[in-house]
Amino acid sequence: MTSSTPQLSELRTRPTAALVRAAVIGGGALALALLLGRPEIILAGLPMLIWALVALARRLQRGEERTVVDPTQRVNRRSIEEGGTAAITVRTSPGTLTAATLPMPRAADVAPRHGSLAGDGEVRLRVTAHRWGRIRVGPMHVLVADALGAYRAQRTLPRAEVQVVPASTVLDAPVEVPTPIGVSGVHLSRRRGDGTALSEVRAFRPGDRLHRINWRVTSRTGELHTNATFTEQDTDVLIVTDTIADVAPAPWVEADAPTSLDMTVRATSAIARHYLTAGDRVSVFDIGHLIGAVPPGSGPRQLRVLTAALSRAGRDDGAFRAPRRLRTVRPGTLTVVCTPLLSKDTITQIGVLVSHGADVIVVDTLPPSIGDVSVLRGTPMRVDGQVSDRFWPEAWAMRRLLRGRTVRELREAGVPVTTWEGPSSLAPVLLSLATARSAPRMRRS
Amino acid sequence: MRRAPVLDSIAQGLLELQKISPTQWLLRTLGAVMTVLALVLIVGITALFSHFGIVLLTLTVALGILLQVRRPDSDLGLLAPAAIVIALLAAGESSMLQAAGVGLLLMLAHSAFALAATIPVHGQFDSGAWRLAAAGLLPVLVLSAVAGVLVVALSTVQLGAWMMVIGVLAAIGLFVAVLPGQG
Repeated sequence: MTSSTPQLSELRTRPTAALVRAAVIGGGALALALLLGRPEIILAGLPMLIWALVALARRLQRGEERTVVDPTQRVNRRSIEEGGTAAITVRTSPGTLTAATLPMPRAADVAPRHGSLAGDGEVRLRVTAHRWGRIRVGPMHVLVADALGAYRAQRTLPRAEVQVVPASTVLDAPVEVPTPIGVSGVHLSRRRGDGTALSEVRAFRPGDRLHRINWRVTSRTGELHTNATFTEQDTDVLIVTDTIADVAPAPWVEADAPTSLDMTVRATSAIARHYLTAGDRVSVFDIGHLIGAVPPGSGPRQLRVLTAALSRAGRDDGAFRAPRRLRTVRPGTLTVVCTPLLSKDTITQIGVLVSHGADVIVVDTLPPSIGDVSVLRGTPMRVDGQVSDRFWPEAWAMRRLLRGRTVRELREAGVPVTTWEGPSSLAPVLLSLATARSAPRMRRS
Repeated sequence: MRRAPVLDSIAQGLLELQKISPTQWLLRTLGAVMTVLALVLIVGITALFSHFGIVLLTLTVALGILLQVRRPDSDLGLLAPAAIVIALLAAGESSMLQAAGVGLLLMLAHSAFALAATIPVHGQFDSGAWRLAAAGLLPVLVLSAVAGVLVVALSTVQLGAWMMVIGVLAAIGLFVAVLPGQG
């Protein structure tokens, strides 16, 4: 996808200090040589005078004394993946020295290194995004000059927006879900019906399909037997994201370590991709206001809708808004809550989801460096050569201990909590949930 | 303890130097070196600090270069080339070759600073920009050579006093034509 800026007002070039210098030195040397009768002085000023004359002649020849071609800006890709690169091209006209300068965008690198490049009528700058979300590139300052730098004009082009889609991690987890609630799909349900997985071999009953008759058992027993199978169903997967707060990693870890919001969004993206690929219906509910709700859907189109919603999320909005509440959920819905488990509203919401009969899994997205007690030595901590008198590491350590109690209570209530450590985080939890559901239960009389 | 802020400011200054792009280093160094060479061509390398007048000239040129290296777009960039042309005048009889050399070096220095002024301190030229600058400079060099030969050839012609008036008027006219207006 590309874009270009609309034509702006007329752009006129102005003489530079270099042209003044050349005219004064060249003209002055010529006048002095004639006045003093020293022809060799002409030679000292002549090249600079000719430099100015060539610049003037070139300008007249190209018709640049009235106006020059307005620069246009073009972004080759409006949406990129984390780590992907978008090129921003600025065009004027060939034979014009065009210099474009970009301010450094947040969480992105610009090539060349400091974001300023000059070229012949066209300049291409590359922006490599390191973090998901919407990044604003610009405003871009463009300087248009002639080949000698004698005349120039300047223009500031409006900001361009590039959406950065969270990295497409492929979740290393089984596709089994505890309670498939759909009609048809890939998950093996506990209900018997049309499917491929063998449930049992039983005596033929009226209504059974003929092609399911098990002839081997029939011939051995002398009585018609048929293969019974489990049905395969899809399910509803609800991903609840907690974007209320963005907790940065501790200052002593590497600069590109993910924040809680990065982990939440990456986990959401990976889980959604995983279940959408399996053919399930996936929806997203954002307790905060960063992503917004994504209604249930399935297939590649839903994946595009979801990744677009995630990439549109901006980080700049620091305004506090009341958390959203999810009122109802279909019983048996696999609900994955991606949260750093710091907000009381989120914990209450998990309770509500459990009470509605959802199969809830909590993915803990608090950065591991936050509240890490292993770095505490009983003395004030020195970070970046300075000792803070606010005891942030100690405060976070206490907060993590308090949070540990919440995690314990959730586990006691039957809600598994797993830390987001990349694509393999969910596998054990999903397996244990599926096993727990299929385990034999005591009949209630 | 007092030394820390001084060291910090020095360290900060050194870090700032890292931001200067190779293109800017090249253009500004080229400008400074060419200007120094023009001065050396007039006074000689051994005589740069030989007496008060030349010391004053050297310091003026050094100041001009310093100002221009710091800000290539400054009007104070006039200082160094003006001082060198005046030094050539004050040097008495000088050969055509020497004056032509000074003119060429001044023009190259001037071009380098003019190009440096088109990009920020961290800006870079891509290959297209270098080609464009070279293509722009080529006619200047050719025309300078042709005009220089003409000046040398005509310098032997004895003109009457009345030609001096016309010549000066022509020089002023040329100066006014080239002197930048407001576009």
